[in-house]
Amino acid sequence: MKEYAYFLGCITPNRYPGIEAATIKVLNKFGIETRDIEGASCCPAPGVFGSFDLRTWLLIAARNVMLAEKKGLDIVTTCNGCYGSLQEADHILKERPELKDWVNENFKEEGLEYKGNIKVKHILEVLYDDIGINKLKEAVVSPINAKIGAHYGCHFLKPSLVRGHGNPERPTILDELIEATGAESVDYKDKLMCCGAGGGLRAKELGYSLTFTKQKLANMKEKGIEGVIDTCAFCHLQMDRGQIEIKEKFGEEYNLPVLFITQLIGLSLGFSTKELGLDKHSIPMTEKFIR
Amino acid sequence: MKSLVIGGGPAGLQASLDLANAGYDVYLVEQCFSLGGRAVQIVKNYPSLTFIKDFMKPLMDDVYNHEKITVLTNSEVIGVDGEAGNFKVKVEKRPTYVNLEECKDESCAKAMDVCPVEVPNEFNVGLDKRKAIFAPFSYSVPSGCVIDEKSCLHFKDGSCSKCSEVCGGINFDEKKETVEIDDIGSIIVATGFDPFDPNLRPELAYDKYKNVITSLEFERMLDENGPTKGKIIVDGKEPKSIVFAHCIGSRDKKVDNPYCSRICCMYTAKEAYMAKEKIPDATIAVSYIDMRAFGKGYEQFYEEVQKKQVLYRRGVAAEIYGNGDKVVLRAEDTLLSEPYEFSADLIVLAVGVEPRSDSAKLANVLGLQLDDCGFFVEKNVYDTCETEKDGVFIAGCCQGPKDIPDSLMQGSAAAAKAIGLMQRCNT
Amino acid sequence: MSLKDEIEECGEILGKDTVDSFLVCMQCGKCTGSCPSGRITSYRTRRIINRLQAGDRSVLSDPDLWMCTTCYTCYERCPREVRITDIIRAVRNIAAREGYMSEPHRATASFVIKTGHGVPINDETKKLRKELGLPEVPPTTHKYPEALESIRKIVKKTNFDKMVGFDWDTMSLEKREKK
Repeated sequence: MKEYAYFLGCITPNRYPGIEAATIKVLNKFGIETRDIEGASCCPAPGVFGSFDLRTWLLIAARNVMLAEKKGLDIVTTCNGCYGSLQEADHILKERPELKDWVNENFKEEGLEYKGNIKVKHILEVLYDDIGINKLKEAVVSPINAKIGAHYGCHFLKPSLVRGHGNPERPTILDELIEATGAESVDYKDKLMCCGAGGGLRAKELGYSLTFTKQKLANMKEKGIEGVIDTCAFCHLQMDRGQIEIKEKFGEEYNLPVLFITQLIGLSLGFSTKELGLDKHSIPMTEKFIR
Repeated sequence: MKSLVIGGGPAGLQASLDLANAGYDVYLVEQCFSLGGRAVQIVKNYPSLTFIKDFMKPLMDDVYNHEKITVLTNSEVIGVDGEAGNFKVKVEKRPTYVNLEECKDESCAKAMDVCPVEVPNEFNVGLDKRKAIFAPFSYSVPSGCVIDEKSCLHFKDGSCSKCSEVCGGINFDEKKETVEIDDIGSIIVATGFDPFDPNLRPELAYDKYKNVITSLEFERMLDENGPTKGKIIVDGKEPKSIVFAHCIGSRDKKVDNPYCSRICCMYTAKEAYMAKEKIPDATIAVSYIDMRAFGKGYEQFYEEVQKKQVLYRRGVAAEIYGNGDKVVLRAEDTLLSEPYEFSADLIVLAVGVEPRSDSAKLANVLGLQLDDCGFFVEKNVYDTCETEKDGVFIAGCCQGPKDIPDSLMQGSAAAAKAIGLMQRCNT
Repeated sequence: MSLKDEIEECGEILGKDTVDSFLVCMQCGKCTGSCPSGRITSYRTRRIINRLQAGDRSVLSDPDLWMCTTCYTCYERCPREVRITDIIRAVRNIAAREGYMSEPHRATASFVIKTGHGVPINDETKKLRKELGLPEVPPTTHKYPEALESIRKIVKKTNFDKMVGFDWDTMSLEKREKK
């Protein structure tokens, strides 16, 4: 039985617990257990805290990694930001012994030590590598019949030098997972464009930030896309709640349901809309996503 | 004492001719079916706008017909022993399965006509098809047909021998042979380059859209004898707006090509000029980083192109996306500090010069060094013909990117060096 | 200290070679042309790099510096392998130290000091968590006060609290003049 330390971060548990519920249900279905990381904090966001003070960013991120390492478990995340911070911090500490020493010095009295024995994984990797497309396909009981816009977000793929998932210009991992549920992943203009939330832009310049989102949603609508599938809780917030904000700010309505990848897979495995928290999204689910 | 030249492009041809005219016996080994190298794919030269054929064809003929030059096409150097003044060389000569002396006037055309196989034509970079028996290009030297055994059905499963029914020159039993040449005093390497594969920059979507093409594909469309009979046609239509994008695969560490390819600024200027001549009402723009017009008369030619209302906009091509029939180039106008989009019927990617993919293999055979980029290493910056290996010289693009006049010059320089060495060895 | 030296000092975490790669920018514009923010805002990636090359400290107070969403598209595509996004983060660190941190960003930072989360939980989500069969309060700093203390220790150690202007007596942000 495979076990992961589930790093929750902020948006997943504190805004979209449906993502948390869906992820646990889907992983359990395939015999993968998730364990709490007691006392974990904000990752903290790579483009926000990384922009404020890199030393503070690294110490807090390292602490989160060490808490999982103490349990002897690899980490799984459901947010590109969390993945970005923890994976980058882990990468830096593995590459730079002097920083590892500095981190360990800082956490000595708390009894924490960074050893570099675990991996930080994104939920996409767990779904794709541990479970696999074939197993997912076989488990589908309620196929999704919808045109989907895949939204990869940024920090799962980039910087590729640190992430190591290959060239970030033409990824297919999310599209393959979407299609495993029976849905069709439709290409659209600026598919790999950022949702607009990151780097502190959402907090500081909501109007500009939502303009990114608006462009993406409009590009999806143009291709007849019926639902957005994302891989990041922060993108998820921006794409779902963002549509309400876009309506308020710009008077434009898109009404595109937004689902996290494990929520889409959850539906295809027979879980109900309610069990996956989808009924509590800002944008209501359409027929295609109601079970 | 004899001399070996590897590569039958401008540098190798010029070197062979200079050596032969100085009285040396020359073996010229060319990997392709015809002499000419990549230069023969180009229609006109810059800045003179003269036809390259008018220069290359006589040069190829002079070399081929020279009594002191033995031309081995479809051949490859597979072994070199010995030292300066006395190399022993092994050349693998592959069969063409066509004995040109047996060929009658019309038999080539007949043979190509009956051949049932069609494959993309390399010479026209896939813009049209050729048969399995084919003439490499309109003025190939040696002239006449060859059989490409990789696509010929006779070699696949023996199911076809139609060409041999109409042409007496066909001989399917021809075998490859190894030619051994002794008493080679000097070797000149002039193996040329490969064009950059734009798929290594996926954001430019070369594989996604028919109307994003390479400069070499565009060049083939400019040829009156080419696949479009000299018409610029994309997807059945004549483009009314064209963007040329500089520095694709050049000055780009991301694709391991940190160097300037030297030729793209000027060949693009020429292609833009010719495009404007062929489609006078077309809107033509060029996206560039820095304009490098360093040769004699080049800057003045750049001016002539601008007079044609070709718009030069500073800033490299950032990405390309499709919009209906159009392709849209995104870039920053770095002089205005403004990002902009140019919606065009055609985008031409000015692909750069890369070391040949097989240069490591040849370097191994010859005992030569490759630099970080994969080009052959010259002795020093003041002597770009000599190498660390005594008696082996380099010329043309295999040493580093350069245009045709510079390649010819380096070919001559390498020949002079080789002659000097062989003179010394004789005394 | 020159701007270049300050940037290199920020390289202690990201690597000196990473952050001083702005020196080799050739001003081709690949970054700006690829930048989704540049199509929407006045942010011009290449100009920022150009100003860093010139040692222009006005970059630090320029609101454009904060228009990057850290999407890394420029970083991935830069033909000179200038690590742009990392450089932006490093330069923002210097700007933040000099007091050019916006109020919303100070607020985000203060949430982490107060709760351990940049986006803390609310009553509505607690209710939803319960409905979904999850513990009402997630097993994070929200549940473990000693864990929150650990975070607070870190921000005191790095003087992050002072940089942000966090007042431990009132547990809120000090008033700051807009810079």
